[in-house]
Parts: sequence; structure tokens; C-alpha cells
Amino acid sequence: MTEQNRNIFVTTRWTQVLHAAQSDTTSAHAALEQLCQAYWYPLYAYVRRRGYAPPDAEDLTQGFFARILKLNSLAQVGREKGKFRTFLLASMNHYLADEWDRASAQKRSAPRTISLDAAMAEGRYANEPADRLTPDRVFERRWALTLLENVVQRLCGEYKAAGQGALFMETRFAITGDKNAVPYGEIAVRLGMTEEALRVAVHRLRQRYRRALHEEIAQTVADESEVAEELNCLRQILSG
Amino acid sequence: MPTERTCPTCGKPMTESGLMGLCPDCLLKAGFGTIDTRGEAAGSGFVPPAPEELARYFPDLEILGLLGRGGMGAVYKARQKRLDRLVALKILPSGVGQDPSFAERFEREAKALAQLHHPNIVTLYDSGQADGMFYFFMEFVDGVTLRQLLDSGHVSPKEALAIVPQICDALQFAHDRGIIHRDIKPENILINKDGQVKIADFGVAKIVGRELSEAAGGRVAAGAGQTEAGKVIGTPQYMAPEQLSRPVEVDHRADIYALGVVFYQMLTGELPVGRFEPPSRKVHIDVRLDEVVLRAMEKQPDLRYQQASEIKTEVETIVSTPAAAGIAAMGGAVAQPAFHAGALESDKTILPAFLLATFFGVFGAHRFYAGKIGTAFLQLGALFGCVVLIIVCANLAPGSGSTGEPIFRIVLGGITFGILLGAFICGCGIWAAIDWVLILCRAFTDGEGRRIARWVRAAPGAVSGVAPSYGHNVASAPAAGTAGSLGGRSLWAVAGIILIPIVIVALLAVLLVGSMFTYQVKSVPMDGIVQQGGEFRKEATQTFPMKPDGRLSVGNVNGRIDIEGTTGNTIVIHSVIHGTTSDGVGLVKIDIDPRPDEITVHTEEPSRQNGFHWPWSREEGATVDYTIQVPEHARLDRIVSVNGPIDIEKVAGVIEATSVNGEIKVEDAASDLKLSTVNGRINAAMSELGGGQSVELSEVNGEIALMVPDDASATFMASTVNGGVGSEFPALNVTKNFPIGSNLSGSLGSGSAKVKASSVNGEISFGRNTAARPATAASPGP
Repeated sequence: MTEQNRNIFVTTRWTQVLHAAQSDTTSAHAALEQLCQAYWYPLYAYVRRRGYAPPDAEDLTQGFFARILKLNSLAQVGREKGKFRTFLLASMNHYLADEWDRASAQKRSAPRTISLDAAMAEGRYANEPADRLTPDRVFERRWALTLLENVVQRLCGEYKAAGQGALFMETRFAITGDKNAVPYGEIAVRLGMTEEALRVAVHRLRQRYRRALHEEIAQTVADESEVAEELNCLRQILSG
Repeated sequence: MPTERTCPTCGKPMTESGLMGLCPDCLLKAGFGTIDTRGEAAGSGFVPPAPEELARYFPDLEILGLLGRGGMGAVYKARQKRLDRLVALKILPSGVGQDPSFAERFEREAKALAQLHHPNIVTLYDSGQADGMFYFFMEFVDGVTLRQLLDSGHVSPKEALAIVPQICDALQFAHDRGIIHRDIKPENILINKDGQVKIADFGVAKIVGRELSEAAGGRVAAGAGQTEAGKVIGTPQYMAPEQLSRPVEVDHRADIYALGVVFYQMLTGELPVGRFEPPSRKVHIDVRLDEVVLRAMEKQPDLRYQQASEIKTEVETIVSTPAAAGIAAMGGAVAQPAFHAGALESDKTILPAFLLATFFGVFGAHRFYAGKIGTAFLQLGALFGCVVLIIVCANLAPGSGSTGEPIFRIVLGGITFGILLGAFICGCGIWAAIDWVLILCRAFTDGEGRRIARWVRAAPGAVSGVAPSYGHNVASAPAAGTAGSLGGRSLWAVAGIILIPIVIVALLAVLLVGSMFTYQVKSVPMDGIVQQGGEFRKEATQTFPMKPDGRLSVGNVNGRIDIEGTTGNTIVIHSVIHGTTSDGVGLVKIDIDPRPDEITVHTEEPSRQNGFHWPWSREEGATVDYTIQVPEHARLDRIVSVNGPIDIEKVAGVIEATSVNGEIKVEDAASDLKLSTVNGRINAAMSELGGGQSVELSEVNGEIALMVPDDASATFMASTVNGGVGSEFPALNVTKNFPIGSNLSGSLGSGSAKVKASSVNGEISFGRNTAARPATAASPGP
């Protein structure tokens, strides 16, 4: 783990939540909210795959977030250990079990705590490939993909903010591909850069991506030693 | 139809959208920083040691400077003090020496090189290890790499033709010794100041012969290749398709492919990426080179040149026998029934040839129209013009060259041909019009008219530079005037008035016929592929004997499948492969494995449409539609990976399908039905469910409609329904949103059923199949 990653860790969201008891509760709450906002879709997909219809899934997801985002539940969350990912899934399972008992009779109307675009969520869910995954696996897979999407979007946003959107779009495939396979000549001409400068830019992009990925994972784990392990986990999730 | 993309890096299908088109797997892999250990090691951490630093390890050498750093280390220019000669010293980054695979790779590179003494191959002097740092000395080549040459501007075709035979020599020499380079690319091709080519970096060479002999001697366990299975070594743009997909099976023909790419790049300055054009379309070169380059780059190793020396021979033949230019080349094209588009050397020759042909064509047309007998020379010229025009038209209509022309170009060719033929007829029309005006003039102004007429007639001739030859035409004009008159007008004038509309109609007709004509002529009849209805098609019907209850398996189909049960004991498989390019159609291979009780039909899809690192796209590729007749009681198990609808009718045996992207329609089925992972609607009408059969549906993204007999007795299984379940059977206990695994039981009419559903994105409805026969052997349900 590099010095830089250590620095990230001081302010990582999940650690903030976990240490809520000792630290600033308001910011911990904000951190949890941000995390929930970033990772609600995997949970929605999970609930849907568990067999709930779209309106119910939406209600359940909202209800769940409402529950864990309650200020007084933060201390309870603070006693948790481990990753945000596993916390979220375990909590959801508890919630569903509770809810199932109470359920069906009355129509729930969960308070809206996070902005969950139901139409978008369902549209996205409907487009997912039919597969043999269990709900747990669906959650994990969606989680990994959401995390990656966050990283890619953030990276793209950073490049755009710096006025280098075109550079990012042209060279983004170099993140995953062989960087020697990039048609540097062609792209350099399109971007009006020298080939050498482009090579440097690609190298930086790959570095920045790697850092962004590590940072994003760091946001969701309790301890820096878990970043590498989580990265391994995510890889297994996607390749499995 | 949904398209399946594959990741250009890892080759896995990418089913997810988003991530800006990046492959999630590779993104995570990139997070480890292990995607390209070579490049990363050199690119991120490795700093080539300073020459002074190196001097410590090599007291015998005078390190003169760093020549460059590549994927695998750094190369220094040095002087061997004892022998007073220049050498190139290549060292590996110190870090990689710790990795056994790198060390082994290095050892291999050294050994492979040591066996090769050839004027076109960089000679290895020595290799070893100094304080954990791997190195070797090589012949110092005072010159440039082909990469530098290409980057510095361009390599002229002439230079390319001088370089290629030398590469061929080097490769042939190495191949004869069982050594494959595996990484031929401009960076590894050095050219010294005398223009001599030296190939460097046989670093990834796999010593086929040695390994085989060792394996035979029992020293190496079978299969312990030096190339780790699945590990791709090379540079993607120059890699043969099989090198990417099946790295273990690569042989010397991969080098021939890479040479083809390098050759193409030398000629055109570009990489042959995507749907690339033959080199002669891009630059003015001998058209015969197209075939050499394209054949070297054939996707199938068997279709390539089998030996590097063959390329050398071809290139040298082309160099020594210059192509006959202009008309002669076109004449040659006529003799070729395939109408090679490349028969005209390049765009530059097409234009003058076109103008020349048009001129002669129009001139010839006039001669024929006027019906005047001029000098033998003029007659010959006119005839010649017409022939040339037709040849040019034929050649302008592209239909060959590389295989698989897009349809629109064929149509374009037809239209071009039509227009030119129209121009020819128009020539007649123009002359008719001139005569018409001429005669009108004479009719109104007698004496004066002749003078105008003379002028009018001479003008076009003057413009086209053949005025003197028209003298006799003008002189004969008065004779025409005396041909007679109708209503005060010359017969010629009347003829002209009639002729012009005819010419216009003829023009339109020719345009139409011309396009149709070329459409057919220009089809590319390779391997039975024909053009039909705007696409390329290849059809085949095959019949095999099959047991009445035999089993049919169909797999990997991009298209639709229609299966019908018949009373015969044969299976008839009619397949239609169709697509927008003949290339795509040609690439699809259908494997049929007929055995007495089991027939397997399997489509081999081209994994790479374009040969390089671009994934094959289904949109551009071909579709296979099957119409299959099977014995009535056949079992249709193992219908897998179908990207299209499936229609099954009158089949009484077990039906089983999985991974289907499209609607499944089953009619008159009477036995077990098992469908899973279906992206589409399922519509099944079961005719007889009385013998305790089972209907199993899982992972369905779409509505399910099951029509079953009133007294069905069967087990239904489905799971996780994310939609409604409707039933026309009141006694069947189905509720919405039931959790996984809960079994729903109920009665279907007089029968009984057990329902279990899983992963269904859509509605399930049970309906009465009124057309069904009553069950004969109804057994009580579970």
C-alpha cells in the first residue's frame, strides 16, 4: 500500500461510518448517504431477483435505506465490521425477512431518502441478460459493475473538467488493452498532440485509473489491508 | 436482434452495457497492474541504467550510449575492447530476472538466436547473467528500424519491394530450422546503411523442433510447451488471428501473416485495420501486389502462402515483369472472367481511360448512327472505342478484388455501367439531334442554311479534334436533304423527332438493364455464395438417416431455427447462411456430425470478422437460418446458444433449449419441455400432458404462455417469477410474487400439477389447450 493510499484511508467513507461513535456523526451520516446513493442499484437488482415486482422492489429499497440512514441507527452500524458491501447485503436480508412478515397486508410507502429513479432502475434491470445467477450473485456482480462504473465515470469527469474529455474518449481503451496496441499515430493526429506526448498521457491515464479504482474500493472497506483482497474478490465475482 | 460484443483484449463476450464500452473484467485486471507485465515493467518501473553504471558489470566493454528501450529491456551501443568491434548490448530490467518465466524467455531468446546465422538475421555473440541482470551481445546494426523509416515519412513501394524479399529470406531460413519469430513488426526489422535488412528479437521464438525432440526423448513432459497455454505473445496489430485465439497452435504461418501486415503498412503507410482496401486502391502500385499482400494476410493459415520463400518469388516476379500499362492491362482484364476490379491499376489510370473510352465510344456511336462508311481507319477507331468503353464499364463495376464487397458497391458498379452505356446511346442521340437541327435549318433557310449546317456539323468535330474527318459528312448533308419531305418537312427531321424520345426511353432502359446486368455478373460466386435480394447467401440441404427417436443437437446459431416433425426416418437439414458481405458468409462453417442415433449440427462462427483486434460484429456478419425436418418422436435436446427465434412444430419427443435470444414457439408438443435462459417470449402449446411429463422453465426474460390440455397431468417447474402468473385453471394455486422454491400445487382440470418457477422476468399464463387430445395414460400428479 502506498503512502497515498494511506492518506485516502483517513477520510474513506466507510471507515468514517464505522467510527461514527468516536467521530463527527453528521459527516459520518453524510458519508453513509453518499455510499448508499452510489450503490443502491445492486440492491435494487438483488431485491428484484429475489422475486419482488418493480413497485415493491422500489419500496423495499427505499424503506431499507430509510432504515439504515436513520440517525440513531448509525451507532448500530458503527458496531459492524468488514466491508460495506457485505454489510449492505446482510442488512438487506434482515430487512427483507422483517418486512416479509409485516408485508403484503398494507401497501408500504417508504420515505424517500435517496433519489432512486424507479423508471430508470427498472429499465436497466429489464435490459440485463437472463442468467442463472442467484440473487446474491446478482448483487455481487451488480456491485462490482457499479463500482467500476463509478470509477470510469469519475475518471471521465475529471478529464472533462480539465478540458481533456476528448483525450479520455480517444484513449480510454488503453486502460484495459495492451497499451502498445493503441494506434498512437492516428489518435495523436486527431488530438493535435505529438505521439510522444500521447504516450505519456496514456501512461498517466492508466496510472490514474489504477489509483481511482483503489480509492473507490477503499471507500467501501474498513481497513486498508482489505483493498487488495476486495480487488481480488471483485475480480472473482466478475470472472465467476 | 441483440448483438454480442466481445472484449478486444480478453476475447470474452461483453454482455453488460455501460462502462463506456470497456470490459469489466479487463478493468479489474488493469487494477492489478498486471495486464502487460512486459510493457508495465519497462514502462513504469524500469529505468535503464546509465552507461557508466553498466561499465561496472562489463569491464570488457566500452558502453557508448543507449540505443533504445523496448518492451523487454534496453539496448546499448558498446565497443568490445578486446576485439575492437561494435556490439549491441541488450539488458533486461533487473526486476524481471526474478520472474522465472522471464528468465526462461531470455534463455530461449538467446538459444534461438544462437542457432541462426544468416545475413538477414541479427547475429548473437553471447549471453549471460551479471549480478542478476540478464544480457546478451548482438551484432551492432548501424542503421534504422523499419518503424523509424515508416514514422519518418514513407517507405516508397520500390523500397518495400526491396525489403520484403530479404525478410522472406530470413524467415525462410529460421522456419527451416523450426524457429518461428512470433513477433514480426517494424520495430524488429532493422535496415543498415547498405539497405540490408536484419531481423532482430527472435525473443519470443518457440523452438518447435527442439521441443518435439525433447518431448520424444522423455525430457519434457508432453504438452509442456514453452509458451504458457493461453498466454498471448506478440503485438496485436501484427498478430495472426490464430495467434490471438489459439496461441498454442501457432506455427510459422503466423510470421507470414505478420509479414503481410508489415508489407501492407510499407505500401500504404497504414495498418490494415477493419475493412481495409487492397493496397493498389490506396497507392499507385502494381495491382498484382494486392494478391500477394492479401494472401499473406488470409485469416485461415491454410489459405496463406505456406512458405516465406513463395512470397519472395512472387514479389520478384512482379518486380521483374512490369505490368503492361493502359489499354494492354485492360485487355488483359477482359480475358479474366472474374472481372477483377484491380485490373485497372489505380484511380489515376481510371480517369484518362474513362475519358478516352467515352470519346471513342461517342465517336464510334456516331459512326454507327450516321451509317456512313469512312476510311477503314475511322471504322476501326470507332469499333475500338466501343470495345474500350465496354471494358472500362465492366472494370468500373467492382465485384471482386478482395472477397466480400459490400452490396452497395456492386449496385454502384451496375449504375456506373448503366450510365456509361447510356452515354453511348446518348452519343447517337446527340448526333441525331444535330442532324435534326441541321435539317430544320435547311428547311427554313435554303442557301444560308447550308452554311450554318456546315458550321454546326464541323463544330463538334473541331472540339473533339477530329474535324477533318467529318468533311465527307458535311458534304453528304445535301444528299440527305433530298431524301424526301413530309408535310413540308424533311423525312430526316421527322425521323429525328421520333428518334429522340426513343433514345431517351432506351437510355432509361439501358440504365435499368445495365444495373441488373452487372448485378448478376458481378456477384462473387465463391464457395457457392450468391447474391440474392440485396444480400449474400449460401444454401445447402443435407439428408441423413436418423432413428425414429434419435436425438438432434443444434448449437451456436446466429439466426432462426424451424424444426418440424415428420413421419419419415430421415433428418433433412436445410441451412441458409446469409449476410451483407460475402466475407462474413464465407466465414461461417456448419459442422454436421451424423451418427445413427444422434445428429449434431454446430455452427462455427467466425470469431474475428476483420482479422485484427476488432471484434467480430454480428451486425456485419452472417446469419444462419435452419429449416430442419426430424422424425416425429425425435428428441430435441441440447439446442444451445441460439441468437434468434425457435419454432418447433409437431415434435413429440423431449424438447430442451437453453441460452436463446429470441422467441420460442412450440406447437403440438407432447413430451417433456425444458427451456432455460431465454431472452424472449415462450409460447408453448402442449397437446398431450398425461404421462407425468414435466415442463421446466427457468431464467426467462419475457412472457410465458403455456397452453395445456384440460386434464393435463404434469410437473411444471419455473422459478423466481418477476411478473404475474395467470391461469385459466381455477384450481391451480398460483400467486403473484412467490419467493424462490415455494412449490405451488393445484389442479389443472381433472389432472393435477405441481408448479415451480424460477427467474422469470415476465408474465406466466396457463391456458386451456382446446385442440389437445385427451390424455390417454393420465397418472395422478404429485
